[in-house]
Amino acid sequence: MRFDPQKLAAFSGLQLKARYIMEGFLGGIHGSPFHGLSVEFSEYRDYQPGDDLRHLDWRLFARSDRLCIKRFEQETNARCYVICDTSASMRYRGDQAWGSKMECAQALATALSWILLKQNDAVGLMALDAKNVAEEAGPPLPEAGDQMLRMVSPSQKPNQFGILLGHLEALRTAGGPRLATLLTHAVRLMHRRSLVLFFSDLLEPSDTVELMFKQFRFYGHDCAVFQVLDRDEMEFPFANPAIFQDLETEQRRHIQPREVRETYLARFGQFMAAYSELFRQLEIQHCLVRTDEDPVGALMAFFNTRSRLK
Amino acid sequence: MSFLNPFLWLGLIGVIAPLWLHLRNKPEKNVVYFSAMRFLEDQALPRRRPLQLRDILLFSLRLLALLLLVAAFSWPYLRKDSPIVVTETRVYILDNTLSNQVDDGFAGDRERIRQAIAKSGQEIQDAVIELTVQPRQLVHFSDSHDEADRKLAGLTPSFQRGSYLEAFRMAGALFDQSLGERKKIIMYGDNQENQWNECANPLPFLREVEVSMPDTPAFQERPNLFLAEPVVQRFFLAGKTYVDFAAILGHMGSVEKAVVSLRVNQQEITRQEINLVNEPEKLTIRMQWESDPALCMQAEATVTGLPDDLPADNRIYISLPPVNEGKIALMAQSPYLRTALSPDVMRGKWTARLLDPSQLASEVSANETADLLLIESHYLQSTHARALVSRYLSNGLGVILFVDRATPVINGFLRELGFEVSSPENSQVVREKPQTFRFVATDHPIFKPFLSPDFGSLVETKVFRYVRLKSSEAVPLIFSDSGDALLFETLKGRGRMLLFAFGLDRGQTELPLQAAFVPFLDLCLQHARFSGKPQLSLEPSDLCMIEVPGDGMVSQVAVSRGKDILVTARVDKDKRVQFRAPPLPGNYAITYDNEPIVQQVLSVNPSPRESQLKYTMNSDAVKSWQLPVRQDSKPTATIETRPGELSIWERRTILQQRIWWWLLVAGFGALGIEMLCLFLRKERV
Repeated sequence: MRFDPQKLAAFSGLQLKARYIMEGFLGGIHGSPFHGLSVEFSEYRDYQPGDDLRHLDWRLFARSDRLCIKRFEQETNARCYVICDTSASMRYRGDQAWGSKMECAQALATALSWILLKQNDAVGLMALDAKNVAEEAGPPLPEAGDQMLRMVSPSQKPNQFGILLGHLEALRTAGGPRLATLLTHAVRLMHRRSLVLFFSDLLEPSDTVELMFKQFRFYGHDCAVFQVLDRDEMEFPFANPAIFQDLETEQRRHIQPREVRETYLARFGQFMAAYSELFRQLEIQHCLVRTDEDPVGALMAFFNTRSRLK
Repeated sequence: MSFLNPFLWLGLIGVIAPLWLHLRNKPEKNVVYFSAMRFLEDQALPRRRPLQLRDILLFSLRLLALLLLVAAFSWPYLRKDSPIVVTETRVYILDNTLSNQVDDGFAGDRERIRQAIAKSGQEIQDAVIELTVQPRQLVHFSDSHDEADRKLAGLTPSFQRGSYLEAFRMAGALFDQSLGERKKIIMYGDNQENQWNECANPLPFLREVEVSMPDTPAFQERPNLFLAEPVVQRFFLAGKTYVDFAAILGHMGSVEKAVVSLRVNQQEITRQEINLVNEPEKLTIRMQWESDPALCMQAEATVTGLPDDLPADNRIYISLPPVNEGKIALMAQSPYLRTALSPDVMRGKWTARLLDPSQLASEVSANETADLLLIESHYLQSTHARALVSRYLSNGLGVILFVDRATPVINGFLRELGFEVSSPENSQVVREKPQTFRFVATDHPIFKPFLSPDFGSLVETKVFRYVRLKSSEAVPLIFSDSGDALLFETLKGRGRMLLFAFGLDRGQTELPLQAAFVPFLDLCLQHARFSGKPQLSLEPSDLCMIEVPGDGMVSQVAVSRGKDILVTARVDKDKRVQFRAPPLPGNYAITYDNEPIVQQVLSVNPSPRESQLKYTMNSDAVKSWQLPVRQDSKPTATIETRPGELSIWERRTILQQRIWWWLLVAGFGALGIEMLCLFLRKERV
């Protein structure tokens, strides 16, 4: 099945986009290899009064007249956090893109949440919002300066997907660099080892970001970074001289694209190489997502890499 | 500060302009909003000139808006040096009453006002009030000289009477809207003596206003011949109907002879020469002629003679509606009453129907009613009789009640009607000495004709027995020697009731034996018959109210003369219609709902007071209208100030304006700081 980015952009609701991506994904792999990931059988143990009778193995009892309880590799499901960067740079949308970087991140996050919830994992959300947006969205959340942390605790309730969807749809890009702040809060608030899915363009020059990724690994979290970038950012295809204004700082520069293109691409390559090296060192899965390409490809690449690592 | 000030509106436009520019400010072109600027940090900063230019433009516009606002608020201060400073406000009063037609006084005054306005410069505000029955502002302060001239040229002499006092009050009120420091009323009128007498002793109402009257009367009195106060009515005698006409013939000055002519329904019926030498100033002329009662009578009386400076008041108009035979329901045993209302006496005017006491129940429920119910009180013992009285009153019909007897039942019913019987033991009062009609309300329509000796006298009428009644609602019309009321008038429900405290019996009164009894009874019947009798003799442009009879089907009333409909007015829910009489004297037909049938005729005649051509200069009255001058205010008489020196009043005004100046300068400073902050922020970026 082929997916057209323009066709994807035509969908207005996030849920529809996610479903579209999901169907493409499942159709592409011909059956999910992740079914039953967290319910692997481990061993038998003797029945003790008070054990849940649901886990009693009746077949074994019939064969051997022994009461045994089935034990699984992990008693509880995995906890997953979706962490979404909402800095103003995520608002960017190039001419060739089917949506902004934020929209792309939202669609991928929704699709992944769906997959994870389908396999009975608990999924939660963390993002930073401008104060007014957060207050309109719902219950009070921890404050972070002029921003507020939008947090949904991980859960596998039947309505969790709806809750996540509502919060993801309510996310708005605003303000300056905020990835470092978001990661700081995330490290502080995650108490158990979890699967952490980052969605960001990482266009934030800060040592804190690097430090926080290290801390994530230090606490044993399994991390995956979806770096969402636009074609314009990666290839710098501009031709005419213009005034460029930074989306985050509103700083303006007079740019001659033909003259600065090489310099730009060189710096961008260094930037990407630095992050790739960092993630390699920290054993963080790094997945590059382009907003002008089919997001299913990015998902496929993510899961293929993940199965290889496993 | 005036909202008429054009600077205020310019200032408003100045305020709106930058806002509008802000709103229509489009996004900048050639700006790329990019996310990966961290890789381009070493590139050059853009030049700020376009941004600066735009901001300076906005800044200039804001500055302009503020300056215009300052100019608007400081207008009274600025105008000191302005070439179009208003220093004086003049209100002209132009007397357009009938008396000012003498020697073309009105036309002369009008020309003088036109010339004065044409000569006045831009530093003088002018307004003109036309003095008529309702003074009106003809020329407004905002009118140009050409417009004022056009309005004045369009004026025509009127036949109305107006009050000097009302015109001055209006002029005083106009000064509240004026800009001039010096306020002046200039009165162009004929200074009629009775006008000034009517204006004596009102409360002062003019503050710091100069009053001048350029027209000084050259004569104390002008010769004039006039007719006024016409009275006309029908009377019946020996089977014939006659019209009795009376009017005042006035003459002032050296008029020796006058010729009075009378035209009735387009036909001259009399022309009479009257010698006025050694006669009093006012004579009553009287004429009688036979008339068909079924016809509407319209007449005009004219007087001619010399010298006469005001010919416009030489003609009066009179009219009489056709006689409609009235229907009376009679419940009386008095032989005098039955005889007086018999066809032999009242043929053509009233038809009486005797009610049978045994058939009262059917009478109460019957649809057919008379115009009037005459009843003696002893019939009120019957429930049906009481119900009949109540029905007549609630239907808006008339009731005449003779209280010849008082019993507890009758007293109770009288109490319902608003009367309290105060006779001892509820019986009739018998005085040792017969009572007479001692005090009579002579202005009442019933008694007014008796002021003329031809109608006989009621004063000597004796009353031997009567019921002493009191009422807080009814109006007593006749009092006896002992002060007891003998005749009451009251409005109950929609109907009118006349209540006599005695019966028409020889033992109670000798009224039926008086020669004036039948005319008196006729007047009582006419008065009680229909309460909505219109005022059919009016002065030009007087307010007139007509009560429309009938079942409420009439919706519109029209006043016309010949084929021209002059006034139309709608009937309100109370079946009344109110309108102003036509401005010219004459007989006018009143019709309902555009139907050709003439319902009534309205006679419009000039006010007799306008014919009194006696003049005076009453400056004392004008002085008494002036309020005392405030200590802190600038006296009107001493306006002059030395060049370069400001009076107290001017200083205070300027001080007040300076407060505005400072406030606005503070606003300007705030705006400048805002712009400075904006520049600094951009500089930092």
